[in-house]
Amino acid sequence: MGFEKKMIQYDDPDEEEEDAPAEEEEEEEEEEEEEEDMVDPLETIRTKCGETEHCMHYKELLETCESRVGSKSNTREECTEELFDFLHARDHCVAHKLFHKVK
Amino acid sequence: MAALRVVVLSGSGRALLNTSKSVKTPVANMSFASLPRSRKVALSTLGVVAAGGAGLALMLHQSVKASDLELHPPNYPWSHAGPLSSLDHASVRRGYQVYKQVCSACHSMEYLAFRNLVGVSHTEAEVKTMAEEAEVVDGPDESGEMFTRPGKLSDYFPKPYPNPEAARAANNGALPPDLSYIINARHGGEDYVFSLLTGYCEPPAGVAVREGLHYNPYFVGQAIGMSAPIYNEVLEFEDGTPASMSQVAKDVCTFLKWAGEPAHDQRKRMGLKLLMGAGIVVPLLYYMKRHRWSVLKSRKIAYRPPK
Repeated sequence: MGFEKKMIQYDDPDEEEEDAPAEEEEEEEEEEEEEEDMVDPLETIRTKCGETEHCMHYKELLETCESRVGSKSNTREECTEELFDFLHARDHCVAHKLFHKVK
Repeated sequence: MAALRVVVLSGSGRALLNTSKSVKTPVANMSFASLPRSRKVALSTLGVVAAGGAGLALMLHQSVKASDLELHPPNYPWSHAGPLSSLDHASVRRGYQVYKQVCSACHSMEYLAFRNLVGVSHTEAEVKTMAEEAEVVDGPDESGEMFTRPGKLSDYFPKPYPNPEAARAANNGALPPDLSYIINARHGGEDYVFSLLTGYCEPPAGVAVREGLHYNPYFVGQAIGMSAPIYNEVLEFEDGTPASMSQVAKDVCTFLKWAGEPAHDQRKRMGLKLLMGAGIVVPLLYYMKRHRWSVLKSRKIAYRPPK
């Protein structure tokens, strides 16, 4: 637990810096897409949930794993566990919010 | 056996007391009893350590992989989840439309008849029109031939394939399951089906999905034969609801929930009635019991010795 907390704390400053521009981009995208195509509230919520502290921690682990596996030419390692952890964390956040947005 | 033999031979119970003298059974000296205490402790410890070590080695030999498991779906706050909440019937109606236009191309619902929809999601006239659109094989007629006729209310939903073998052959070897009771038939129920329908994603690094299969973290083994069936605006709802992927998935899950448990609303209503009825009857019965027993409970039994 101690380790995880530290990780999250270390992540914090980066996240805050990155958050603001990402959101702006998102909103722009949404506006653009609404003119052409429908945006699924699920996608919007997933993106938002994926940026929470808790999920960012797992996302970072997933990205580390993907780059590690991708850098090796021959490995039996796969990132299923990291993906599951990330999706599980994100789902937990999505499940509370999604049904307010759909009919 | 030895004791029995002694009884038979001697004919008296007295021989049993002296078995050690009269009968010598050929037993190898395998017992710990004769060993000194320290030896016993040492041997027992050795046995426990050896067995534990063997067990540990066996367990460590088997590696545990995340891909042997599957991602568990979260709990979605379904509108029918509460103990007294009924199904959203507008959603059931949209869900039928999704089944009809999307799912029914591959999935059968062989335990559902058109008549089941009457009064649930559609009116009788609407269902009759829908049934007539289906071609049903009936017969035999006077000449012994089978013929097709427009469907009626009592007909079951038409099947996309005549038999499971045909379904497999048409779907790359994968059998699309019958959806009549799918919500009851899967762990996680409607949460699972919803997550499965909306959860398709790219496989993570190091995972290769075989040709013709698709990656879905909620599916056992993560490789599913069905490609992502639902996407934004896969159909147009007749009531004008925007058909986003999550909306479509939610509606079809509600419909499947109803299909798997048609008595859902009735059950909850009966439960409420029963609880309310019991709320009156149980205290009443309790009061009556106390009332009837009060005579017995408060009586005094006195012993009067004979004079």
